[in-house]
Amino acid sequence: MTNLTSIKNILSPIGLLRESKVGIVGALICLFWVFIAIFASAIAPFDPFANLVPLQTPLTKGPDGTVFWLGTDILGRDILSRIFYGTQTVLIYAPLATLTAYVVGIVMGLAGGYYQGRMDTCLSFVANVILSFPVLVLYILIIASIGASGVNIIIAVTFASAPGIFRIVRGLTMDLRSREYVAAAQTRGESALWIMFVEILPNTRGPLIVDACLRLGYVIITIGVLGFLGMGLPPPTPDWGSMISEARSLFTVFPHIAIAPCLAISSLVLGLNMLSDGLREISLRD
Amino acid sequence: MIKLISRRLGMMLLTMLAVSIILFLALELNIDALVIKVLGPYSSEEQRQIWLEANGYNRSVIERYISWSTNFIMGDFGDSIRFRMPVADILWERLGNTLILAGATFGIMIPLSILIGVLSGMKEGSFLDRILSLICIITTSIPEFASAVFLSSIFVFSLHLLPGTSSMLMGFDPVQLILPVMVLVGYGFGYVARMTRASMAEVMSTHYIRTAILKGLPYRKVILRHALRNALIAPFTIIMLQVNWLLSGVIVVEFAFAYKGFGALLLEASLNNDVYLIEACAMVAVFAAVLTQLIADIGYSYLNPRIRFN
Repeated sequence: MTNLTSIKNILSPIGLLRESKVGIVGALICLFWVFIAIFASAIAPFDPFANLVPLQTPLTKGPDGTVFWLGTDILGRDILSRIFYGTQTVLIYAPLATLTAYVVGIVMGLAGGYYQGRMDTCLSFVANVILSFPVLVLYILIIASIGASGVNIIIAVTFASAPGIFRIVRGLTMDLRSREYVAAAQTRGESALWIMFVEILPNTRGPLIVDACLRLGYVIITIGVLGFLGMGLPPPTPDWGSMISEARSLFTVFPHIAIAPCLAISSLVLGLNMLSDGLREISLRD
Repeated sequence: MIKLISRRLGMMLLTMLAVSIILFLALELNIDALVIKVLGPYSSEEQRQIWLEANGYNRSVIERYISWSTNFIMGDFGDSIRFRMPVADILWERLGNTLILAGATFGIMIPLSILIGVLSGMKEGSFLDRILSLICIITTSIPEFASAVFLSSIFVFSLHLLPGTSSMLMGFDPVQLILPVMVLVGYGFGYVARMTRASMAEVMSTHYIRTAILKGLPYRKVILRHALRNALIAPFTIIMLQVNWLLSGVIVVEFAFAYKGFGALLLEASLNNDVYLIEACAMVAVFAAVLTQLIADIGYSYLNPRIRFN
């Protein structure tokens, strides 16, 4: 019973989304891409790795009469199918990387905000040092030194994003730890871990959910940028950023190869930004 | 005031020290890997030993760090492996190019975003506010590489109006700067505009603005005299912190348009394992970021009348 209500409490801002038009549109865009990612193998017209007819412009017909809706790339792979499968890549790596960043950031933030003192000073200094790097410089340095792969991208995102999350959680924890219910739990003799994760953490959810949507958008952009700079997932993985990067040399002749993945990534990030905007609007209202 | 500045300055130096130690350890701790990067994978063991000996790599890590950092402060960054010339010679020229790009971007972005922010923050929830807010959300959702593709497909591919690269091979040409600046401004202005809007909306709901309106001052005068000055304190910090964002943005844009700037240099150095060039570029990037943060902090407390110094 208590479990059910706590789940309801965490989901309550999402239910309130009805009140914000921007938020609903954002949520719909995100759901659309999630749908594409789940059913990519069912709705993609072609195998994303199959080399068919190279450099077809959008809407041309293939040899067996099927239509290349968005054309084909230099290796003759259907762009629409690659975008559909690329959704899977993005929607697996970006949330996973954001999640690990959150786990690290939350643990650091709770520890720093709850214990304060020397522990907080040390953690804050580490966070300040990492945050003093321009973000992309940090990503490039990390990826250049440990190599480009899916796991390494997750490591890099965690390293670069956790300090920002740390700051938010730390600030909220410092505020919440002086509340009565925390004092009550301390008097009951609850352990520090219990207080941090059961009493304080659930009450930080509002700002954290808004930040998570926004941050997920940034992580998607970052994975795209790394792909674009040639530091993304190794080929032939269908990855939006890498698709744009591969299309660069042919851009002046066949711009459609690069435009399609650009539209995909922009719309997904737009959806997330609108969703977080709607959530923020609602959370500020009450 | 002096106490605040000296504390911030001390923090800044400490951060730079920490960053330099991290960079040094990450790139130069493993000398076996380092010598392969410098001499290439096909060098013989003997050559590697001679090089290590000649460049003082048989000393302890602490000794090496001290000599490296003193050289660094004196402006001697070592030789670039890829360009076969002193890092300093390449670095300053590239930094100048990036400064031109960044200056043009800021010169357009700041007035534009403040104008949009003030217009939409004046009357929160108005039609104009909603339209401008929507535009800001959309533009901040289009990453630089995507807007580079969109804008070049319009202005280069379809209209043939602008050059598609900005390599400046035939000497400096301002026309080649238009697309990169458009991309950077397009991605960046939305954020500053939203911050200005929030700050403006907050000021508009204060008692002194209500008083000014109620005592019959013209609306224009209320905005220009009373609201604007207070509303622009918070965006000042945001604008200064945008330098950090811009340093990321220029990497993408310079790569996309083949502009010979600092960001492209950093990327090239990283992709080619050019150790000394990476160190110099990263230190310069962090220094710029930390310095602007310092200016933002000091400027904010100087501008904000609610903070007084005794």
